[in-house]
Formats: sequence, C-alpha cells, structure tokens
Amino acid sequence: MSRAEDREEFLALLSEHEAQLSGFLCAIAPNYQDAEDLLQQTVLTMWQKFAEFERGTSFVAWGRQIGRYKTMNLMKARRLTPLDDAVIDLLLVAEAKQDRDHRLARRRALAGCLEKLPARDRQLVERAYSSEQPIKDVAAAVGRSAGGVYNSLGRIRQALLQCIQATLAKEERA
Amino acid sequence: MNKRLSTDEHRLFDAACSGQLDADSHAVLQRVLRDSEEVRVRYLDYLALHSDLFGAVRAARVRERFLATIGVAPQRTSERRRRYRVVGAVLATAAALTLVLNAQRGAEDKTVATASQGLAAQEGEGSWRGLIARVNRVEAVEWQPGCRTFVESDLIAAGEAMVLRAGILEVEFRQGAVVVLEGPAHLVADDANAASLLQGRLAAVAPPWATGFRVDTPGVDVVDHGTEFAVNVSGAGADARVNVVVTEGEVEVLADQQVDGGRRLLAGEGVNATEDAVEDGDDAAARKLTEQLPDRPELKNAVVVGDRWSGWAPGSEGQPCRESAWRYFTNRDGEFGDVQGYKELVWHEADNCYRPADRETSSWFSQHVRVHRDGGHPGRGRDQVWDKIDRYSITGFVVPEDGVYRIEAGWLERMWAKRWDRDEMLDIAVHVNDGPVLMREFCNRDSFVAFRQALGELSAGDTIYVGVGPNGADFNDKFRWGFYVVRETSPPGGATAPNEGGLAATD
Repeated sequence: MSRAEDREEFLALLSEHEAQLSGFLCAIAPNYQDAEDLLQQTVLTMWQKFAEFERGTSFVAWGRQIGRYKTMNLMKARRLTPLDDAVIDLLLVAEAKQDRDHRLARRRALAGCLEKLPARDRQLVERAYSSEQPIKDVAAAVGRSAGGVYNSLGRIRQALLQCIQATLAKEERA
Repeated sequence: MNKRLSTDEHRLFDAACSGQLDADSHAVLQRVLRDSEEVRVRYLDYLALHSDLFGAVRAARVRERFLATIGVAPQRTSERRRRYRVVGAVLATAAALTLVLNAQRGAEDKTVATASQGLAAQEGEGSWRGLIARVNRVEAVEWQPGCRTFVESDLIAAGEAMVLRAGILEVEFRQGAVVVLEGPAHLVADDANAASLLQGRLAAVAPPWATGFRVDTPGVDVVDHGTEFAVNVSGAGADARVNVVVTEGEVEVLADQQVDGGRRLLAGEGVNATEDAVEDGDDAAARKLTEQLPDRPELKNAVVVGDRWSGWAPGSEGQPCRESAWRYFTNRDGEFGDVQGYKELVWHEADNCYRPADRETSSWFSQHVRVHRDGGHPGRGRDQVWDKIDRYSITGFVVPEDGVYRIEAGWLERMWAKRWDRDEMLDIAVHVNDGPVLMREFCNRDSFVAFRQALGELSAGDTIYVGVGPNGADFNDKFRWGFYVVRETSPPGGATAPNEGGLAATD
C-alpha cells in the first residue's frame, strides 16, 4: 500500500473513531485543555506507528492504548495522581459495551435538548465550549464570578443530561 | 442510559471534568468507579456529554493541525474534512449544532457544516498561540517544499513541524532543552518539553530544569534524565530503525506503550532499535552531531530550587499562600520594587486563584490582579489611574539557602489579541528584596517573551520578586507564564553569562 493510500485509510479510520477517542481521553485526562493536547499527540503517534496497526483489529482500541500511555506520561510529569490502571481497564470495558447507535442517538438528542435551553443558558454553553478561554475568563467576559459560571454550567449539564435521558427513553418506547 | 445521576455523583463527575478534584474527591471517584459498573456507565455517559459538546471542537482543531503536520494541502484538507467528518461540526452555536447533528441523522458519513463563523466570533476575544519553542540557528538549511520555513528567532507553536532536506537547525524548547537537527529530517514540536522525531538525526542537551525532555520516535521513545544525547531515525514503517547514543549523563529508552522502567543508557552507551529488537549499538554520525550543540556552561552548572508551575498550590479561603516558598502580591500602594507598598494576595476558592482581599471594596485599580496556576492578570495601568502607577501581578520566591541564583527558562505568553486598536504590551520585571529592578522585558505583539536573569549571591530568606505589569493599560493582558529559580553549583558566579545566548537572548 502506498503512503498516499495509507493516509487515506488512516484519515477515514480517524474520522470514524475520533469522537470515541476524544471521549475516552476526556474521561482520563486531568481536564479538557489537556485532553486536546493528548488527542493531538495520540493522533500523531498513531500515524507514526500506522504501519504497525494490524488491519481488522480495533482502530479505536489501539488509539485508546496509545492515548492512555500519553496520559499517564503527562500525569507523571505533572506529579498528578491518575486513575488507577484497574479503574481505567474497567472504564474501557464499560465503554466497549456502549454501541455506536446509542452514541449517535445521544448526540441527536443533545441537539434537540440544546434548542430547549433558555437563550441565556445556551449562550453560556456556546461561550464555555467553543472558546479556548478558561472558565475564569469566560466569567470575566460575562461579568460573573467563576464560581457562579461553574455552578451554572453544572446545572445546565445536569438539565441536558436529564433531557437526553428522557428523549432516549421516549424513542425506545416509540 | 442508566438511572439518573445522584447529586453527589454529579458534583464529583463535574469536578473531575473541570480539573477540580481534590485528593479526597479523587479517592472517592476511584472507589466508586472501581466498585460499580452502573457508576462507570453513568460516568462515561456524563463524560460523553462533555465530549460531544466540547471534544468535537477540540477534535476539529487537532485534525487541522495533524493534517498540516503530515503535509496535506489546505484545499485538500477542506475537501477531506467535508468528506470524512463524522462528529464533524464544532459547537459554536446551539443552532449550528442542531443543524450539524440533525445532518448526521441516519447518514454518519455525510457532509456536515462547520461552525467556523461562531469560532471566529470567539476569536475576537483572543486566544492562546501555544508557543513552545524558538529557532536559535538556521545553517545552510534547504526546506522541504510545501512546509513552513523558519528563520532565526521564529517562534514555534505546539504541533508545528520542521521538515528539512539538508542543513542544520537549532531549536530551543520553552522548558530549556536545546535540539540540533540535521537534514534530511522531520521533527514535530509536541509541547514545551517534548518532540517527535519522525525521520533524521537529532542531538539534544537538556539542562536540569528540562529533565524529562522526551523525544518520541516511530520506534522507541527517549527520555532525558539530565544529559546530552543523539537520536537517529532511518527507514519507515516496519523497516524503521532508531539509534540512540548518550554522550553525557543518562537517558531512558522506552519501548512502545511503556510509561516507565525503560532501559537506562549512560554516557558512552547506545542502542539500535528495530521493530523486532533493541540491541547495543553505536551511531558515530549521531554522536558527532552532539558537537553541534551550543557550548553553554550554564545549561549544566545549576540545580533547580523553585518551579513556578509545580510550586503553585491552592491556599485557604481568604488567606495568603503559606503552602510553599511562593508568595503572591500586588503593588497596591507604590511602584513595582517598593516592597513597603506591596499587599499580599489571598486565596479565593470560587475563582481558583489568589487575588486582592479587598477586591470588592476600595482598590478598584488592582481589582483584576490575579495569580493562578497557569498565569494571571495584572491590575490597572498608569494611563488608567490618577496616581500613574502600573499595578503588577507579583510572584515572590523565598530563597531556601545561601548561594548564587538565577532565573532560567522564563517565558510569558499573552493572550493573542485580535483587537489591535485596544492592544497594549505587558512587561515583566524582577527585583530581589528592596533592591533595584534587575530586568524589565516587554511582551509585544508577538504575544510571547522569554527571559532569564542572573540574581547574584543571595542569602536564605531573601525574596525574589517577579512581576507582570500592564505597561500603561490592562487591555488584553491575560497571561500564562513559567520560570525556574536555580542555584549555581560550579563554577560559582562569573563563569555564567545568563543573559547571553539561548531562548531569551534577543527578546
């Protein structure tokens, strides 16, 4: 296989699985800013080692292992305590059980739930999730305390989660 | 999806997502995740919500950088993104998100829109450039066509690639490691203390403050433990071969997926690694490349006594920092350098930072002063206040023992401002005790400045003050920074020329 074909195949696989990979790194990284850097490093390493990837095996499982290793290195360098290996293994098992249709249904439900949010909450979510600013800076921009913004986001996420659960339950009944 | 989150679970998961877990909560999280499959599923579901909202934004940026790294042209990048994106859209507006996610309904690989307009709107408020290295030397370099070319003093962002067909390139990483790359070679700057060598030959020297400097390769990974070493990557894919040689100190060679406990190599030793084996071996050409490393004795004659980043610790509500040798101030009642006018900042839990105790009452000119783990914000500038004094965000370090001290690997990055009409520079300055200001550097529109400073002979209990000021006005003055306080070992004093050469030389 030529390098160009390798690249096409790699990008196709990455496109299919990057959300899962990103989600896993979010689960084990110290925070979301770090998850982005870790995803960057993981993807690069996967590309470097793509010749070693065994076709027919799970691309995302392979990526998770590399991402896990990168995360452990980061935590070690920062002298942070990572989740135990055993806990991460258990999370991997639980995640593997979640099927793709469920994930897609959840994202569809999220879209509908966002529409139902009050405008002010929706604007806060936009601001918090689409910029690189830390919450403290988001808070300063909207004239609130960081603690207040954390609380609001927590409340909004909880509301979104409940809405998603209700939507999925309704779809299952239909 | 499993049963709803309890309030405690929600609080715990939210803290984990936001990087705000304390040690006790971390232990609780570990326990509940270990003990219950249902909790694990709920945790993953909760994280999936974050990931869907946030990860897609980040994933989109990662993809852009990755495609640039592997040399895919922008036009094709765009086509490719439209063709392949699964999650695809970024979530700048709920409306855009709705469109995007609905577009995926039943057809996962279909084209989806990006919400770049929304992101552009956010960029209007500034962003971090993520600069992590600088080019020190470019010698007879022939660059790979289509890739970025560099000249001396160019700044390098995380994820940027240096691809050269021939010549010598010297790069200094933000944390202090200096790398010499010999073409043909392909190096990607990963972060302030790590790089990926995809092809070619590299020599590196890592001072004590850059211990842990890491070079990832398609085979083994190399981690510095205070040393000078060289790495050569030849071949590709299954035929890749990696040679590592050590000329001073010690490195650790890690196999794929190995976090620690790798093979240790001492000065004079080397290995050749292939897909199948890691064997003793040498690489004379790589070893010779270490002769191209800069002759800077200050990279080897000091020990680290203070690290601004890792020394930072949260305090007790309303109290000044007493957790370590670090102290935080603002010059509320006088000029920077006049310690009689310094007022100590206090911990504010909700904002996760040190800030003035009287922020809500009298001192409006210092109300924006902040110190948090990554950086902070100065107060008002002299052009904004009646007493014409710049208010600084000041970090103090109490010297633990007598000796000759320096500041090393100092850097400051200001949030990248898009509003040039409101753009002002930041300044960074240093003094010891009530002595004169020893250094003042300005962070201009490059948004990045590096600094080093000799401090001379200090006694235990002396305080080093490093302040970041608004330089006139405090518009767009959020900053991130770091520096190390080091004590010289040998030779003491004069042999070092701390302000000559290196990352800070021409700033």
